[in-house]
Parts: sequence; C-alpha cells; structure tokens
Amino acid sequence: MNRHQRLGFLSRLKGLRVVVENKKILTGLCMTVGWYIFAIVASYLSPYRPRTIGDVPVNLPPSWEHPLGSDPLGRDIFTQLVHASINSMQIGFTAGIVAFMVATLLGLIAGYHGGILDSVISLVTEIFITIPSLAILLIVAAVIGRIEVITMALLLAVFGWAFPCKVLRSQALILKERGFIKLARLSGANGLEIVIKSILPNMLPFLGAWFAFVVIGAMEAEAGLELIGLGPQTIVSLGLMLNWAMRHVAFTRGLIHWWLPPALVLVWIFVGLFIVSFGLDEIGNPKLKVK
Amino acid sequence: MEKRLLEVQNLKIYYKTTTLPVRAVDGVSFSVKKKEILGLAGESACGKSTLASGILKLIVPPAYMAGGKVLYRGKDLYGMSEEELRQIRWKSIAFSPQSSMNALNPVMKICGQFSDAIEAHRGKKRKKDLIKHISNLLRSVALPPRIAEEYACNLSGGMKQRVVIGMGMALDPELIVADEPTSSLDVVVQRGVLEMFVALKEKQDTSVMLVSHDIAILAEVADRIAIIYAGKIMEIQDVMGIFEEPLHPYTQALIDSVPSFKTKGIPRSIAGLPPDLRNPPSGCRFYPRCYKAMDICRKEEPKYDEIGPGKFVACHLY
Amino acid sequence: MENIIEAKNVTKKFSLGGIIKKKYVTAVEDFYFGMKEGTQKVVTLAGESGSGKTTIANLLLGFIRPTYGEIRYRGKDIWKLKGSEWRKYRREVQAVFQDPYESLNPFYKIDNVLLEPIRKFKLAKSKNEAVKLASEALYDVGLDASEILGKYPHQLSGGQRQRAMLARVFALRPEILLADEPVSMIDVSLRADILRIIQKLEKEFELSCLYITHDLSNAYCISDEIIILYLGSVMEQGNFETIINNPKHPYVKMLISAVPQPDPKNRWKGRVELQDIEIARLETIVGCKFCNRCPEAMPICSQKRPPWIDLEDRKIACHLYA
Repeated sequence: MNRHQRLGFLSRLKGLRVVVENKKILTGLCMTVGWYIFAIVASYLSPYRPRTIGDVPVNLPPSWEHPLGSDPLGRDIFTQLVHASINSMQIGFTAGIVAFMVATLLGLIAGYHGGILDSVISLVTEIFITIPSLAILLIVAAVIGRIEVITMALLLAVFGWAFPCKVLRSQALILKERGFIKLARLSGANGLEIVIKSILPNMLPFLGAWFAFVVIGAMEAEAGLELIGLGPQTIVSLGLMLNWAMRHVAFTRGLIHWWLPPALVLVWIFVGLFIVSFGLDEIGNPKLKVK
Repeated sequence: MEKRLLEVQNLKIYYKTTTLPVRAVDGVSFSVKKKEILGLAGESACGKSTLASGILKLIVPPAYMAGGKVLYRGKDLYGMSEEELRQIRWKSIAFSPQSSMNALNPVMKICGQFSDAIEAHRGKKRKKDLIKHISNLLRSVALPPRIAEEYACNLSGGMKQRVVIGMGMALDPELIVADEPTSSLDVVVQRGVLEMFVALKEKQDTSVMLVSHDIAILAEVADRIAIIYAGKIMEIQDVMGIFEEPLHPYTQALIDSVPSFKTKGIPRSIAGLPPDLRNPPSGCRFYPRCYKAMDICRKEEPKYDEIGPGKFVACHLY
Repeated sequence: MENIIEAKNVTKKFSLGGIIKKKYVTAVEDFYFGMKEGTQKVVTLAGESGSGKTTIANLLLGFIRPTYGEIRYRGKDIWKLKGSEWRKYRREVQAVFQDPYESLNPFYKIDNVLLEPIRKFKLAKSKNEAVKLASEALYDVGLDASEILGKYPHQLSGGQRQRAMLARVFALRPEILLADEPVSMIDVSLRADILRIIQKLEKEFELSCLYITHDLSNAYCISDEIIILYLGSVMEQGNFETIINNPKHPYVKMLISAVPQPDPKNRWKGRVELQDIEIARLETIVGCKFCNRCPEAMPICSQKRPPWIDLEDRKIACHLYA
C-alpha cells in the first residue's frame, strides 16, 4: 500500500473506533445485543419448553431450578422469558427494518427529487400519519382473527414507516441545499449518485437514531397487540406473556415473578436502543469526528 | 489631560490553555479623546477583538485580565464593582460586538428590544416617551421609524447592524466601541454606517473606537489610527501621518497589502504568519516578517515611545 | 469563435407563496451575457446583495431554470442537453464557491473532491494516474499533496480548503470558471494568494473567469471587464479601468465612490443616502429601478425602463444617455 492508501485505511479503522468507543453506543448495544445473545444462549441451554402446558409443576415460586418459577399452566417462566425476548426482538427488528427501508427510500426520493414525486409521496405519507394506526391495527386484527406472525410484522411496518419518512424527507431537503451538493453536481454526479454518496452518509447518525425509534415503535405495537389478545398468539412473545399474566390476574395475585420480568425486559431493550440513538446523535457532529 | 475619555494602560488579557497562556493582548497602552474616531487596525487574530471586549470587561473565561488598567474618566474599570461597571456599560460606553446582527432576538419586535435595553438602565418609562425616543434613535441611524414595528428576522443585514448600533446609542454614551461593525455589509451600506459614526461625532460629541481589519475604511473616517500586531501596539498616529509617513515597517506593509483603485494588479501580501501568542518570539514580534529588520530586533523588544507630538511607535528604527 | 456559455434574454422570477394570488419577485431581468471559447479574461459581475448575482451564477451552472430566456452551452439550451454533451458542459463550466467549508462534504476526505471528478470525467486511466494528477494540481496551487491528501475538511484551514477547490479546477481544465465570492471568507492576508492562483489559471490555461463579487477592490486586481448589476438588471458594463476612472451611470458612480480607499487625502464627500426597499414594492416599479435613489433622475426614469445603449467605450442602461 502506498502512503495515501495506508493513511486512508487507518482513518477508516479509526472511524469505526469512534463509533465503538462512544460510550453511549457501546452501552446501548451491550444492553440490547447483549440481552439478545444471552437470551439465545439461555434458550438453548434451557431444558424446558415455553408453551407446553404441564411441562413443569404449576405455580412454583422462583428457585434455583426455575429462576422465575412456573406459571399456573405449568410452564417455566424463565424459559418463556428468553424465548419471548428473542421472538419479540425479531418481530420488532424485522418490522423495524422493513419500515425503515421504505421510509428511507421514499423520504430520500421525495426530499431530493422534489417535484411531482415529492408531492405524491408527501401526500401518501401524510395520509398514513393521520390514520389512527392503533385503531386500524385493532380492527384488522379483530376482523382477520388469528393473524400470522409475518402478517403482523408487515402490518407493524405499514404503520411504522410514515413518520420517519416525513422526518427523513425534511433532512434530505436540508442537505440538498448544502454547498457540497452543488460541487457534486459540478463533478458530473447524477441524482442517484448524489443521494447515495453525498446525502446518505451525512444522514447516517440521523438514520441510526430513527432506526432505533422505528424498532422501538414496532416492538411496542407488537407488545400492545399481543397484550390485548389480538396478536398471532402462535409464538411466545413478551406481549403475549403479559397477556397471559393479565388473564390469570397475576398482578392481583402477586405473581410478580411472572408479570414484571417481561415488562422489565421491554423497558431494558427500549432504553438500550434509545441510548444507542443518543450516541449516534453525538457522533453525528462532524467537528467531533476525527476519523 | 482632561480631554482623554478613555485611557488604557499596559493592558494584558491572556487566554488560559492546557499549556502556556495565549497572550492575546500583551501590554497595550493608548487613549481615546473626546470627540474623536480612533481606528484600531490589525490582521485577524492580532488581539483587536479581545481588546475591544476587554475594555468593558466583557471577556469570558478562558480569557482573563493579567494586568494593566482601563481608566474611564480617571477611574479604573477593572477596579470597580460589577454594579458600578453595569452603570457605565451602555450609559457611558456602548459596545457593538462583531456580527452583532445575530444579537437581535428574531421573534421580538424591534421596539421591544429597544425598550428592554432602555428600561434596564433607566427604569420604566411612559410609552409615549419611549416611542419618541426610539423613533429618534432610528432616525439617527438612517432607518425609517416604522422599523420599530418590524420583527428582527424581517430586516436585512445592514438594517440589523444599524439597529444594534442604534441600541448602543439609546442611552447617549460618550464612547462607542465598535468591533468590525461593517464587515458583513454591502459597500454602500457600509459607507452609510461609517458616515453615521462621523455624524454622531460631529453632532453629539460621541467618540468611537472603531476596530477593523480593513485599513481603508479607517482611512475614510478615522482621526487617529492605532496599528496592533500580535497583541502589541506597533504605531499610533493621526490618519494623515499613518498613510503619508508610516513609521513602523508593519504599517507600511499593511498599507501595501490593501487593494485600491489607484494601482492595478495584485497587492503584495506580507510574507509569513503572525507568531504563536503562547510563545511569542523574544525581541520584536514582527522581526521574522520585517523587511527592515536589524540584528537588535531579534534580541531586544523595542520600547513603545512617543517620538513626536501624537506619534507613538515601537520600533528599533527610532 | 462560438460562445461557450451564453445567457440570452434570461429572466428569473421566484414565487413568494400566496395561495390565491401568487406573488413573484424578479431576481434577474433580461440578462444577456456571453463568453467565447479561447479568450483569456476575467470578467467581474458586481452587485450588492439583492442584485441577482448569485441567481445568475445558479442559472449559468444549471442549478435553476430560467423563467424566460435560455442559457446556452455552445449554442444549445443546457436544459435540452443529454448524455455526453451534458457531461461536456459539466466539465467545461466549473465553479469555486464562497464558503470553502460548506462546499466540502464533511463525510469524505479531501481527496474525494479531487479524485471524484477526475474519475467521472475520465481524466485519468488508473487510480494511480488520478492521484498523480491530483497531486500535481495541488502543487500548482501551492499545496503539498502529502499534507493535504488523506485529511478531512475540518482538519484543514480555510485558506487550504479554498486552494484545494482551485486545485480541483486545475485538474479539470475547464473553459469557464465561475468564481462566486472566492475570497470573501478568506483571511485578508491570504486573499492575494487566492487571486494569484485565479490569475494563474487565466494565463496558463487560457481560461475565462466570471468573478462574482460585491467587493470591487479585490476584483479590480485581476479583472479586465466589469458588469454592474442593480436589483436584477445590468446598469453599466465595459472595461474595468475605464469605468472606475469615469463612471457614467448614477448608481455606478455611487457604488464606486462608496468603496473605501486607503487615501485620507480624498475622503468621502457628502453623505450617501441609504434606502431599504421592500421587495414586494419592487415589482410595482415600471421605470428604472434606481430612479427613487437617483440624484440625476428625470421624469421619464419613473415611467419607462431605461434603454440599453452602446456608447463607444461601454454599454449602459440609463435615460441620461439615450
């Protein structure tokens, strides 16, 4: 490698280091990804099955063998928790990713291109924002009855893309006016190149932060639907656990080891994602970057 | 003696750093007389802005005063209490910082901003009196009185600049310290603002300390010019003397570097860079860039002396 | 010799919103301009803020479309160019902007701003050749490639950034350079260097430069001709020296006398009259846009737009010379 290439490589490595060294991002990632990995490992190690009724004796209090005890239907709660975590996060992330990609694509096109495309996309976005998503979700879930996991993930995505799209469009509009865009055009770049090479990288922290929000939104919606019994109910998720706990009046019966852990895990994941987004915000300021 | 409004004696303002302090203003002495426009000229980062805000003790950490006095009518501003100083600020000495256009609240009406300032110093006034006062102020900066009802965000740069200067005039100060008041203005508006300073001097006996990197505007309106370099004053003379017979080589180089319509072609810029003020060179600070440098200039710092009536210079040539 | 870049009858109006009755402001009115191939000169486009000079720059660079009239590249309307012709236009008409920091994408190293256009315009056959070309261009503007390449924009000083932008122009060898206030955000002591580089481009590459500014003193250093704009219309144009020494248009007289000169023996005489015109009122003026500030205004000035007159040493838009 000649001197210039070596300098470039080191700079890029350092760039990654900035991201990873940022305390907030590190903390947040440890919280979310850490829990996910823990849950996967624990789900493999656990000899119990989360949904099988009568798998273990009913209503066992927390013990060494059953860290969170068992529920009134004879299932180990800890196993439920780890499986539920995995499923909830997977649904949330899938829905989040789909929604986010749609939001980014449409937001950038609308913001950069302008014109008719912008008017059309903006109109559609506004409609989706104005529609009371929760109400529609409830209606759809109620009408269709038992919905598939995939369907639910897609539904969540459908209602999750609109607001980020609007925000990303504004951001694209702002960046479009920046001086370096002019220079990119003078250097012969066409619209697509400018969006991908010039606008997108400058939006990365912004995108990262909004990705976190979208995922949180999807997980929240999923938990909410499951909680009121309108989810697929075919796989155990954090929301479903809360639903079961609610049905068995766990709160009044003081079965704190049943209803509190899933709620705590949800909070834990949300806080972790929030912290990551704050961290991304921090490194978004180019003057702080010494890549 | 009694004609001196402001007297700065050996003022030192440094900036704290993790290593050595930056000696932004390093022993500066000069005076501003009644009814005069004193120009303070220098390159960027020569300490002139620090000096301008330092006069009214408007410096913020990491800047700190490291010595000297600023005498206003004989009293040291740095020896006063904060309350006494507040009385002097705005009422006797007004300060117009660089790019003061941004000092206006964009969502407040102009009259509101004026009245805030006036009432803060003179107590509550009758609405009629206030309106009259504001109209007069606006007229004195060549703005139509209807501007008072506008919001700051609707005004152009030149108008905002004049509003801020007008606000500075609100309490009839004896001295205005203006730091680059026209640097972002169009050339015609610039002339208008500068002529306004001259009018204030002529009609209301106001003195102006005009800080600028553009020696050409000082040539047009100043009575005396002080040349500052690397935190020290190199020369002070009346405006004719500075341009006809500059004493200090830096002054000459500065004048030569200004483009004018008299000569076509790119003017000669001064070679080299200003010194690092954390570790200024021993001897004369201009020595590395001086085309008349002698051996003594490297070793010994020249004394700042009055070598003729009203002619001050710090150079070994004298 | 054809015109490389040309503005014919160009008018640009911006809409100010308004739902029922759309309000417009005319930023540029009936602008004519042309620069021929192979000439070697610097033309100053001078005007205060609101004069429309930035709009003209954006029009000539194809960033915005004219409301009326055409911008032409080698005789063809730029908005009708396609494919290789469009790329040729892009390469041959380059620009340097006022804020060197704004013009640089903070996400990429400075190399990008030089290597990207080299690659896009196929000016080098390999990456190595491109780097060599970039390094030579940096040398041409007085920068050391090993100190500049590999750094991010915020790691360079303002002067270095602007020089890097000019190095980019050196590497691309355009026919026309639009310099939009290239030194106004540069330290005063470094401006001469930037001007020297632009002059070098002009003399070494036979490039023509349109120097857009409100600062006449700096422009005068390197420029041969001047076009003076006021509120979107050209008031006077011709040889710079001739007009400086003997301005004829009342606005130009006012403008030139307002430029501060380092000569205390010839200070400003009298007082200039400032006028802050509301943009909305501008559209209602049917006569000369300068007439309500003009010390030599005649009745006809408020009734009809001034004619464009060809005097022997300049062109002028003024009823006084009709």
